[in-house]
Amino acid sequence: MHGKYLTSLVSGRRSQLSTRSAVIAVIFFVVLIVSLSIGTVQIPPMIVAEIILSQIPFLGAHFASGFSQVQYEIVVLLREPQILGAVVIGASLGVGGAVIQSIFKNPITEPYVIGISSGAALGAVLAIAGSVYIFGAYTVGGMAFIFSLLVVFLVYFASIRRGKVPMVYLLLMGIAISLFVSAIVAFLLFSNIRLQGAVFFWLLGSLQEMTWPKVEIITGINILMIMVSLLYSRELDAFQMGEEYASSVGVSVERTKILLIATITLGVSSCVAVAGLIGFVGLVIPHVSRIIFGGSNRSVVPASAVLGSVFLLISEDIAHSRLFGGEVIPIGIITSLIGVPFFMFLMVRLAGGFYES
Amino acid sequence: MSLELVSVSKRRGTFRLEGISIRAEDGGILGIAGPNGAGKSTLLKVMAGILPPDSGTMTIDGRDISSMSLRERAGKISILFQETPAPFNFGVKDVIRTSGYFIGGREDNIDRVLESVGIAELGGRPFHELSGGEKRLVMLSALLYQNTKVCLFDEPFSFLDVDKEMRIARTIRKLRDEDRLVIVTMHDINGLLRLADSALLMKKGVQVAYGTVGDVITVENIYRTYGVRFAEYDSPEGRRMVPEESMAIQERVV
Repeated sequence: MHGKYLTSLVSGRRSQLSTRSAVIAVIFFVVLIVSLSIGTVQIPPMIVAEIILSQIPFLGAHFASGFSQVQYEIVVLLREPQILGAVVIGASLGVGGAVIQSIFKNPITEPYVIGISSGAALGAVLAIAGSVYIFGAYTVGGMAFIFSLLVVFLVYFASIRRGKVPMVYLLLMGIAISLFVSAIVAFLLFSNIRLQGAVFFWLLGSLQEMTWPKVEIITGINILMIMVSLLYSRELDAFQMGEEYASSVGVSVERTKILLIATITLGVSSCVAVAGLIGFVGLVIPHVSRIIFGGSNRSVVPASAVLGSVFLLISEDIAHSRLFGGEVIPIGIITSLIGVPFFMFLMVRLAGGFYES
Repeated sequence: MSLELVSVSKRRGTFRLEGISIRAEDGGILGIAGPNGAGKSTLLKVMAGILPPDSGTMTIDGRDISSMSLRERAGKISILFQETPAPFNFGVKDVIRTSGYFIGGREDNIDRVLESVGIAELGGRPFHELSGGEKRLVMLSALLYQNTKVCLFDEPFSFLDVDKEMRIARTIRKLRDEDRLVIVTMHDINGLLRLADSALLMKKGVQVAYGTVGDVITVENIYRTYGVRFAEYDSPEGRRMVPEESMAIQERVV
C-alpha cells in the first residue's frame, strides 16, 4: 500500500518533469523559427522552416521551391549566423554556469569569475590599441580568446596550495586578478579615446558581427564542452556534496576540477571572443533550471543548455525589435534588462525551499 | 578482512597526527574517543583514504590503499561525515545516488536502503526541507548504498533525538553482524562502552591506549586522555562511567 503510493508519487514527479522538458523543447523550436522570421524584412515562419529544411544535404532539394533567392539569402547568410550564435552562446554560458556553480559549491558564481571576461577584454583592447593584425579579420577575437585563457591560467596557478586548488582561493584569486586586469583595460580605454567606440560594443556583448566561420568555430568547441559537462554530471553532483565527500565516493577531485575548468574556459572564452561580454546568462540560467527540474546536474546541465539558448534567442529578438529608438541594442544590455525582472519573478513565485533555507 | 595502520602520521596546518598503529578485524566495532582536537576526524579521513598519510601505511587485507584506484577504494571504504552537506535543490534520492558513483548508473537499491533505515517516506522529499536528524539518516542511507566492507562514522550521534540515535546505533550493530568492519568516533564514553568491541583513546594527535573496550576504558586511561577523574559503577546494562565531580554534585543534591 505504502510502496504503491510511493511509486505513484515518484512516477508522478517523473512524468511532471518529462512534461516540462517537452514544453521547453517546443518553446525552443518555436522561438528559433520565430527569431529567424522576424527582422527588417518579415519572412513567414513556414517559409523559414522550408528554407531550413532545404539546407539539409540530399533531402533539401524537395523543399527548394516556395521561397525567393532574396529570402534565402536573408535567412541563411544574415540571420542564421546570429541566431545559431545565440543558440550556441546561450547554451555555453548556461552550461558553464551550471558547472562552475557546482564545482565552487557557490550559487553566486559564473564562468566569468575565474578571469575569462577580464582576460578577453584585455586581449580585445590590446589588439585594437596596438593595431595588431596577427589573425587578420579574427585578430580581436583571437587575442580575446588567448588572453582569456592566459588570465584563467594565471588565476589557477596563483591558487595552488600544497598541490591542491582550494575553491575559496580560486574564487578570491579570480575576483582579485579580474579586478586588476579590468583596471588595466580601464586605463587603456582612458588613455586612448579612439578605443572607446571600437571596444564599446564588444564590451556590451553583441551578436551583430557573427558570421558563418565564427559560428562554426564556436559550435565545434562548445559541442565538445557540453558533451564533457554532460559526461561529468555525476561528478558534479558529488562535488555539490563537498570535495571530501566526492573523494570518498571515488571521484578524482583535483583532476576532475582541472579538466572541467579547462573545458569550460575553452568553450566560454570562444563565445566571449566572438560576441563580447554577455552577462547574466551564466549566473541565472542554472538557477532557473534547478527551480524547474531540481538540482541534480543530470537535468541541470542539459536544461541550462536549452534554457540558455531560449533566453539568448528571445533577448536577440528584443535587441533587434527596434523598440528602443530604431537602433539594434547590444544583446548584453537586453539580457540584464529582461533577465533580472524575470528572475526576480521566478524567485518570488517558484523558488522557496532551498533558496529560503 | 582486516584493516591495519602502521605508524601513520599526518600534518594538517599546525596539527599533527603522530604514529598511529592499529589493526582492526571485520565483524567488530572500533570506537575512537578523545577530547576536541585529538585528531579523531583527521584519523578517520586518513582511514577513508581522503587524506594521504605523510608517513606510515594503511592496508586492507595487506594491500596498501594508496595503490588502489579511487573507485576501487570507494568500493571498500565508506564514511559518514560529521558535517551535513548542502547541495543546491537536491532530492533525497539525488543525494543517495551520489554515493553510488563508483558503481556507475545502477540505482535499484535506493528504495531498499531508505527502508532499512526506516525513512522510506522521505524518498520523494527535497533534501533541504529535512530536519538535521533526518538529513543524518539520509546520509546514513547513502553510506549503506555505497555498500562497503569498511564503514567509518564521524560523530554519528551528535545533536540527534534519542529515536534517531537508536536507529543509527541499530544500523551500526547490524553492519557488524553482517561481518563488516565499523569504526566510530564519539564523545560519549558510556555510548562507546555500550556500542564498541575495541577502543582507541587519543589526545593531541597521539594514541593514549588501544585494545579491547574492557582494557582501554579504565579510570586511569580516561584521566590520561581527558584530564578528568571518572568513577565507574555497575549498572543493569553493564559497566558505566561518570565524572567524579558530577557524582559529588549528585550526592549533594540527594
